[in-house]
Amino acid sequence: MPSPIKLARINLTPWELSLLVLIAASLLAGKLFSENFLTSSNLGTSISSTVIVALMIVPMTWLIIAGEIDLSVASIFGLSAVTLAYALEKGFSFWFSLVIALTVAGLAGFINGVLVVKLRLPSLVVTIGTLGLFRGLAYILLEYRSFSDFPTYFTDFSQNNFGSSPFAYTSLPCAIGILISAIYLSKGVIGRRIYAIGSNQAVSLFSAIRTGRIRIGLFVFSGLVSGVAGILFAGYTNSARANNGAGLELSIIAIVLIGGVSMYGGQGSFLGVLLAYILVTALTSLMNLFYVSSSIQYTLIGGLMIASVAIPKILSKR
Amino acid sequence: MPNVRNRGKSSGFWHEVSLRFPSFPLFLIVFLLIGGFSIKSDRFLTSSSISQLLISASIIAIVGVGEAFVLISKNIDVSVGSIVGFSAYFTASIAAKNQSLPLPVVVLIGVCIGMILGTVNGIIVANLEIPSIMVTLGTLYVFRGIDSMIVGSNEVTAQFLSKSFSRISSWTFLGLPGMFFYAVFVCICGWAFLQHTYSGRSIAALGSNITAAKKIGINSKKLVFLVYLISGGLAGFAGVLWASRYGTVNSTTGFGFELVVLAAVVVGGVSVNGGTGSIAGVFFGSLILGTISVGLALVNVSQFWVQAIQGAAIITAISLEVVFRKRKISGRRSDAISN
Repeated sequence: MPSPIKLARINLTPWELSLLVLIAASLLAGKLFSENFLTSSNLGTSISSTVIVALMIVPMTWLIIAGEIDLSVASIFGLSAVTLAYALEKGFSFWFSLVIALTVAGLAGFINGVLVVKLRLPSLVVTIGTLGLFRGLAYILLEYRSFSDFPTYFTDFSQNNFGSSPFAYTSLPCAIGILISAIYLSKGVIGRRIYAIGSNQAVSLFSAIRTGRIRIGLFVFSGLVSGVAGILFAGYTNSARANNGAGLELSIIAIVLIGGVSMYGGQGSFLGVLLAYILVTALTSLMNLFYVSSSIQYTLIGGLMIASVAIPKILSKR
Repeated sequence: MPNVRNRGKSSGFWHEVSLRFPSFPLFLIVFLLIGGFSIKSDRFLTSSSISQLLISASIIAIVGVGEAFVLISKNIDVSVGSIVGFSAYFTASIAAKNQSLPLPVVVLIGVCIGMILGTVNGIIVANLEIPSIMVTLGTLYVFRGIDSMIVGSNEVTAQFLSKSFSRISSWTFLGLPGMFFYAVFVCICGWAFLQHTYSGRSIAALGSNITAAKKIGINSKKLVFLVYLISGGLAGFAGVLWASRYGTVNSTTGFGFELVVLAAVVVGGVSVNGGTGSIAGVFFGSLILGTISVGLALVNVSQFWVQAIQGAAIITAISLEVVFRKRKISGRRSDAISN
């Protein structure tokens, strides 16, 4: 292993350095092939359309480091938006509907957590089941209808930017949330415990870490954050539909794995995940500028994800 | 010899049934579902509804047998929906362009397409020992992406297909649809392979304890590759049947089908922790899922409920398994060990 390279007091692993190189390469390619790439409007579109989704990479990183996975995030994303819409349709006030929607999202995460922890089921199969269940509930509530009758202060908040800067209002709370959780994961008590659980759950349990409680908490956190993201996204696109965010779990999990988080748990840094997020956003924006169809984009992200887990394996076999 | 040892203290008839015919509760559920639906709707017990039920259950069962192998080896394959769609489109378009191709060749093409895609999964999972969920979640989108890249907005519809292509699935025997016999054939082959061949037993051994299996000389790489090959091949076969039965195939064919298949397999009692599972269970699990989807449509329950019920079925099945396993281990330890 080459020693990590010191860069302004941040230790970069070789993996993170190669991500940085890839980001530079894709930005350069964007600059060379399209004059619209590094403009403030394209930057603004990229930021405001992805910052909401970026929220969801926080709990996913934590979960994968703890050795679990949550495939139902995209369904909770859809369900919370639909619940909000359904409650508004029934005539409740916006704030009350918001509370209902977030409760549903938190409850959804709680169901995942209890099934995984109390019944000792693999989180993978549980969350595939709830992926179907929560998406199905969203369809039951709203069917094929689309709801867009949101109050204007809500849509204004989720759509508009700070003055003429490329930064959306939503990017401020998202960025703060991501930063706090990144620092807390590497320095905070729970953060260190999550790493311990991911490296060896039995040893963590014998070291007086409440592994069950922390893991249930992580699933609730994942549900809540997916719910917040789903609601903000509904405001951003001004539509709540049952299929909001379908297939989003792939991008989220892909970003976390491309960021160098170990799929066996216990290893990974938030910095890498953040770099992976920037890389995927840059690539997506580049492809959008060249009108690359979404099916090709999905293929590329899926391929990148497999490559990012395969490359370390191939290298370690040498 | 659990029967002999437990004689005298066992609970009698039901205990005997549960030993000799472990899928009996599933059979009971199918029976109750059919009974319930036929009371609710007088159109349910007609020959057209029953054959519709058998056809949808058959496609689930064929893919389910492959998925069961994968789960028993303690892996998972969530890319089967994409493989079904891939194989369905390409087989149908090849059959539409070359009307004179003999039917066995057409079927073989579909199976081969499925096997090639299964090989991709198998090589990555087996050789690089990457968790199968990461690989197959990736290939779920890669296969679907390549499929829709090539297909675009094209569609193969029944009018382009020859009469003979639809004959792959449309024949009947004794009033039962031919699809049902394909499923029964696949299930019998799967059962024989799993229970009575060295490789089949090794797959179960691998799923229950991979370290022990490797120590007694089981080639885990070869077997993991094999289960993905089988799963891909069967999904490819199901794709051909899908195209032949429904006639219209586009880039969304089979989307989300992995959820149905997983539901059928875990409802059928295949353990998500690997090692145990029976093909008879998969067969009845598929019948349950098929009955629910056809039955709900007939009793005027909106189709929107179907996905939620499939998800709930998975959750209920895996939770019940844990509850029963706990009771079995604490209450009848001798049975649990001899099983």
